[in-house]
Amino acid sequence: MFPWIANLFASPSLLWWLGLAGAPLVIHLLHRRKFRETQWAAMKFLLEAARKNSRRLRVEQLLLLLVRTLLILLALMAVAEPLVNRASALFQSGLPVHRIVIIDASASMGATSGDETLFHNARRLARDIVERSRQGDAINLVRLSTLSPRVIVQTPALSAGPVLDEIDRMELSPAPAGLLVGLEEAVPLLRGAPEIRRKEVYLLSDFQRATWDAGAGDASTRLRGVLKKLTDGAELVLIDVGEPGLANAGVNGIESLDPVTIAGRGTRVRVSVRNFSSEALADRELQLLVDDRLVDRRTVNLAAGAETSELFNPVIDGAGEHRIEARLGDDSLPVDNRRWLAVSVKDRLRVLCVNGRGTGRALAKSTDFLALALSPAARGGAVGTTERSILEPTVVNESELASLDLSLFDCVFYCDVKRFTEREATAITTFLKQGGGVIFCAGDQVQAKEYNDVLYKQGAGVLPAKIGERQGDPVRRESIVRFDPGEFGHPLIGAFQGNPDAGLESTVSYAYLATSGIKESGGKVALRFDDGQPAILEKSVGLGKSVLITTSLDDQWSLWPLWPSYVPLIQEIAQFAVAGRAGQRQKTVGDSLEASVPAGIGDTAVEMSHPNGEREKIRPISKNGESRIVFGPAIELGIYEARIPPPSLRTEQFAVNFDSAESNLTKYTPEELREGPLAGIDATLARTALEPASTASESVRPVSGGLTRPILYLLLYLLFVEQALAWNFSAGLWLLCPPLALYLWWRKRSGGVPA
Amino acid sequence: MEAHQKYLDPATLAKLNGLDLKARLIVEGYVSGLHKSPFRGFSIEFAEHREYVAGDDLRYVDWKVFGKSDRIYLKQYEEETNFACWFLVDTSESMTYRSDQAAVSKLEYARYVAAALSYIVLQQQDAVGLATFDRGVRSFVRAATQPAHLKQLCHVMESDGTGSDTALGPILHELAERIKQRGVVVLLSDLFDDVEALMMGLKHLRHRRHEVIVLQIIDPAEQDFPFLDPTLFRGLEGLPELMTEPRALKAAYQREFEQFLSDVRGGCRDLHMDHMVLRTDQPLDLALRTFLSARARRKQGAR
Repeated sequence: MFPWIANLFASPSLLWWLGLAGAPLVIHLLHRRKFRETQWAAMKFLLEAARKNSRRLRVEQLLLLLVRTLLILLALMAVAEPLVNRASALFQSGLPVHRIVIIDASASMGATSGDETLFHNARRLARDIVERSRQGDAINLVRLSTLSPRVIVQTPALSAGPVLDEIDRMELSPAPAGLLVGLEEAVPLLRGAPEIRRKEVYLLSDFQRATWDAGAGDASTRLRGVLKKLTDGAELVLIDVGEPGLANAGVNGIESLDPVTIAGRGTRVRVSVRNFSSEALADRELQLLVDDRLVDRRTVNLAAGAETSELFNPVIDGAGEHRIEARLGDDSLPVDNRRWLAVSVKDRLRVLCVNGRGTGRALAKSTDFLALALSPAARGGAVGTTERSILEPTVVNESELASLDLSLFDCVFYCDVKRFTEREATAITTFLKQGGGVIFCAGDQVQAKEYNDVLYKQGAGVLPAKIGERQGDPVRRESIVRFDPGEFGHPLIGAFQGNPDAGLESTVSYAYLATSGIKESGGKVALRFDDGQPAILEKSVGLGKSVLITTSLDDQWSLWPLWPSYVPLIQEIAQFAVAGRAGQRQKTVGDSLEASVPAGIGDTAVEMSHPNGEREKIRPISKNGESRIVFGPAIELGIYEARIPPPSLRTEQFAVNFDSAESNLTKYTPEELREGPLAGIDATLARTALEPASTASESVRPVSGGLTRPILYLLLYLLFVEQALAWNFSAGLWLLCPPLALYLWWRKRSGGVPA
Repeated sequence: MEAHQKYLDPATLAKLNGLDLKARLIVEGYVSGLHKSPFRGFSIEFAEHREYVAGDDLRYVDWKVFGKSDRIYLKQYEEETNFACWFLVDTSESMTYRSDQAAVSKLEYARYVAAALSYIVLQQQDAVGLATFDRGVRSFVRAATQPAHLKQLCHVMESDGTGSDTALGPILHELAERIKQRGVVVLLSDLFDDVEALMMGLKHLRHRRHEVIVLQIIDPAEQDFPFLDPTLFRGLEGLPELMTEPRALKAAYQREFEQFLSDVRGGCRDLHMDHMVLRTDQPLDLALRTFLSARARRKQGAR
């Protein structure tokens, strides 16, 4: 069998039966040997008729023979399943081709099957496609990833060499495929090489569901739109390099359950592991490493599709930046078996308490109860504990505020402060954006209008809500309100859930400040009074948290400081307010890394260390009096570390982790693709085996079936025609070729040769 | 089929022996179907009555009328002069053809027709002559009026074998010269020959003032061409054979054949001759009717 013919069919072995096409001729000849014989008197007329019509008879017989032969050929072709793209390529093989090769470089392509990754296989197939190029062909190369660069060869390359080099250099991305973005960038490439009319787009992918499932919304419409654009001017060939049923489990989450990690104390770290395969996984070791040192290990067993969480409690010594890593044993996709957590460990939290009410009486300052609650052990073991408090309060009066550098503190409580200047408001905003925590507490002296003008700013300021009139009379104490935690939905009060002895719900207040405009400012209510009015509100500002407590923290407006709920809730508020700084440093690959730096460093470069050890300098950007560094997108998994130069001289770490959507290796089958994302798209689906293929023509195997149905329709039609031709040649000719039949009919009418 | 019509069917006649018997059965079958006088319409045909006058031949007195009315009337007839009728029967090889659709060959059919018509003619005391021919004249029987003459005619027709090819034109020229007495000439043939030569021969007969009736005998297969499977046609009269797909050639053949019939029909019409195509699967009364109606028409024309 000629290889070029074999390549046109899915079942080329059936083409050995092509000899059957000669059957009509043989039958015809045999038929002629089997005849009847008769004497004939009117021979003269028969001979004359035969003489006049011999040519027509020959043509008729030839045509009938041709139709019968064609019937057999078509039947064989239909059974042998012709391949559309190969057939068209045969007819157009002499023309130059503009090929756009798109390789899925998403993380899921890193899955291994046998000795090779899917990505390696895709690159090899891409090489095969490129190597098929001949003189005059043009090639573009595109890499599918959310990370740049996507278009690798922008200008159509007229020789295969440079494209092959780029394919060899192409690296797997740890990020998702960014299918839509990648394909949209490939569409304009079709306009390249306008002198070449024949265009082919090859897309090599594992057809992972997470990548190709665009759902039913706008994304689906966009995907269809971009695929249509690709098929408008080109033949789209989708080559499936995926392997069904690959087993994979991955660490899909790691988080610190404590808002603040304190040196020398255990911190709760929760690690989530998920089995993405359809088979159970047993006895997989899960390790926890702190600063690359193994501190704990567990064995996990996972049912198919199940997820489990393991709680670790590592103790980290020494304040500063630390890295925690969860590591799972290797499987078909190693990249999702590691996940990092950047932890800023503190020896204590420095809390500034600003007293707005000056007095000489004991416990008459607005911050007296607060300071006691923040550091109970420091004041002689008010709660009878010997453990050193992690909070270190510093109490200052309002008058000292202007001379204080807020950056020396982690958190600031403003208690019953009358008003703020614009300068103070700016300092507070900067402090918040850098990850600090600010808590505004109510009191008799609070000037609502001043607060609203300077801090609320129609919702654009740092205050979570607009402050209104005081509700209730703290002197006459005629009406009381109590805290109503609702469903304990906010993390601030989560610790009180199921703990009625803490007295949160029985805490009595006599007065509070009414609030409004919460929605406009983007604030959230953490705790309400039982009359529905907010008691504690919070708002994120930059990396930091701004909290507003609408009642006083002393005993002026409530009995709260005397209640058991006071100390724990104050401590929770302080830790919640400072937690923002740590939370903002857990990133996903492709994210940008941002950090505020002191304005004092000027334009001195910040050194950023990559997970692979490389270092690069980043210049801070100053805007609105703030200085920050922006790095990214982060394209490596692991810990990035920014070294901020003096006067700050500190480091900040960022954990860049894998997008767990890529962990699920479930892929579309060709049938599901045709009925799903590719429904109505005129594309050829190809498949390949992972075993080494010697040539592209064997490995890139187009899926059959595109021409079978039309061939069967043609076969049915020719069956009718054959019957008609045998019964009445003219009728058959009308069916087969109406124009020819019409022409012969016209010639007959006008006295030409008889039809 | 009624009993009297049975002998008009060629298939029935084929089972009988003796051509003269067949002739009589044909004629009687035909005449009984008419419910009229067996021999009315010939030269003895009754025309009118006239009163007897002295000297009239008493043989023609209508005694039945005399019995009823006591008056003597004589029966008068239209024509009382004898005429001669010649039957020219083609015995060439092509006339021997018989298809599966027909019970008798064309030659057999021609013999039946010739014998039946001879019987009729002899019954009216007219003379009947016969000529059989193929390439040349094979038998020539002079016209005679005796009823026993029928036996001789039948014997000649039955004893004559079949010949080879035919050449109608020259034969007709020859016969036109040999038949001296003016009369009716009935040609029984498939006429498978050159139409132009045929017409020249027929013209010669007309020139000799014969009244010519052309009874063209064909086999139903020759007109219908019912063949479907590939067939090897072996030509008679020395024509070549032909292997063909009859289905593909049927329409063209039928066009040729109909054209031939049309040419013959047109030629006869031009020569003022009666022409009738007789298919061997048809009853014989058609031939008789044609002959008799042609005769009647001639007589009416003459009067």
